Amino acid sequence: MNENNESRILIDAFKVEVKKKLPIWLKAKEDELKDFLDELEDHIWDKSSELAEGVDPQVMHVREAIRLMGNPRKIAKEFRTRGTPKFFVTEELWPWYYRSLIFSGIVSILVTMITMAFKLGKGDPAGAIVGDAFWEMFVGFAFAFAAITLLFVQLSYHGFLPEDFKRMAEEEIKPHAKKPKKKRPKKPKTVLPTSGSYLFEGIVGLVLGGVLIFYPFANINEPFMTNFMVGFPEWLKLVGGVFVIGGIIRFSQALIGKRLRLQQMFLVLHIIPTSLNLALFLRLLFNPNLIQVALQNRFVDANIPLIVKTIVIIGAVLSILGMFGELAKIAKLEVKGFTYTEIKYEKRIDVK
Amino acid sequence: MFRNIKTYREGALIEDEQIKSYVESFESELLRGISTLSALSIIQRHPDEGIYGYQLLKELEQETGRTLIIEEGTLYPILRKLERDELVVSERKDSGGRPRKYYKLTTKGTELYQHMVGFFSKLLEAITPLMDIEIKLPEKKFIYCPNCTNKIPQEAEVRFCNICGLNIEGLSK
Repeated sequence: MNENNESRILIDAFKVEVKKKLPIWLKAKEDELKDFLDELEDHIWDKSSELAEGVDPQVMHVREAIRLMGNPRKIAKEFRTRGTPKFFVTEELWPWYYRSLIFSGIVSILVTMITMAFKLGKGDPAGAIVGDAFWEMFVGFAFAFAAITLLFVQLSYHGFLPEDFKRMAEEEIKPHAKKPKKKRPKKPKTVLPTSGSYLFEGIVGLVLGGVLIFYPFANINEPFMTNFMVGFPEWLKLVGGVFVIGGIIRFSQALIGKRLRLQQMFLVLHIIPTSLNLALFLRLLFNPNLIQVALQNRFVDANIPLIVKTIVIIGAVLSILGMFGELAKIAKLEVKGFTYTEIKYEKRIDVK
Repeated sequence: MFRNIKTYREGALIEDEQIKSYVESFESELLRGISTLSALSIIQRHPDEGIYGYQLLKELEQETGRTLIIEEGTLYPILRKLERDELVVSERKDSGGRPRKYYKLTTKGTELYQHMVGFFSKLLEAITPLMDIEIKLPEKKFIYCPNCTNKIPQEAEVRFCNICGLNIEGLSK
């Protein structure tokens, strides 16, 4: 093996060692990583030439230059000194950490609510369902807590800062950047519906719920109801009750206005009536006698079980999507506040 | 700096592993900020052509009489951080048959550098009575902003400190 090859192998091995020790955020940026390692190599060659005193550097000079560069771990450590220590997670990542915990807590509540809705719909005993729900929530959150804490401790150790997430996200967007377009002023988008629409939803919920509970048209339909729809009025009353709860929550949201934490709390609370609605819809699916017998008697030729099944499935899917929608709103509120403009897009179209 | 102590007598205090580790860690903490400031000082001397890492280390060693030594490999993460913070810009240029990365101060870097030097100078001056050392700042050549310690040349025709905006008109000219 000639001197040049051996020197090359030594330098490459050093670069590999440094690369191994570097934090993930730097390794993720391939161009910057390559540039950094190349710069280290340039330095090694410069130093080797100096040590060789004017002649071509030999392996021993390269070896000495590499030794003088210092320990790869120490070089990499310089990148990890970013961030102010706060317990095991840096102060800069702390808001992201607790937001992630809150978010995972809400997700675990949401998943438990959906599971609960299915069990209630099937007609399992309520006591057991609630007991299970608390246990499931606890286990779900405990796992999420452990995973998120481990992740953030690692990210803090590697000197990750919030702007690295942003930078990485921007780099992801770049290849798909659109052609420059004529700049048009953007209207700020709102994360939440306006107070007016919440007020409307609240009033609709209260009125509809009231109608279903007190049933003012009972005298018209009474003979029909008593003959064919055993249990259906109770089901309607329950649906009405859920509408009223949802309406009260929406009404409160309209009154709260732009109070971030309260809005988020009520968005979480709104998951409860939505999941109850889901349970009631599923009740129709698991207990077809509630509605099918009556409808089959009126529409003899129709495939009532299939129609009910389809409606229930659509209703259930919409309810679940609604719950995830609330979750998305909570997250958006946390990240963007009540209104935001698509700044990234504005910036991108500025590039010539 | 500690790596300059190549030998020590048997039984010397520095032989104790705990003391050695304490001194190393103390010096490393103290040098962290000073290394950045010193690197910026060298870079600002090359406003037109810029300077590459190896050359920077050489100048630093010469200027400080080999007292301030940045471990060679650790200079580059410092330069990366300065670049990320937009205090310096870099450009790859051919020099001596090899492409090298040259660093130059940005306008923001130049302004912040003056502030950092001002702060460091005033800090040193302030702690002199505690340590029985003497430091004389060139107050005839520079004004040190009383609000933010920014270092401003006396001959500069400026009314306001460019860092904090304090009206410095009439201050010791």
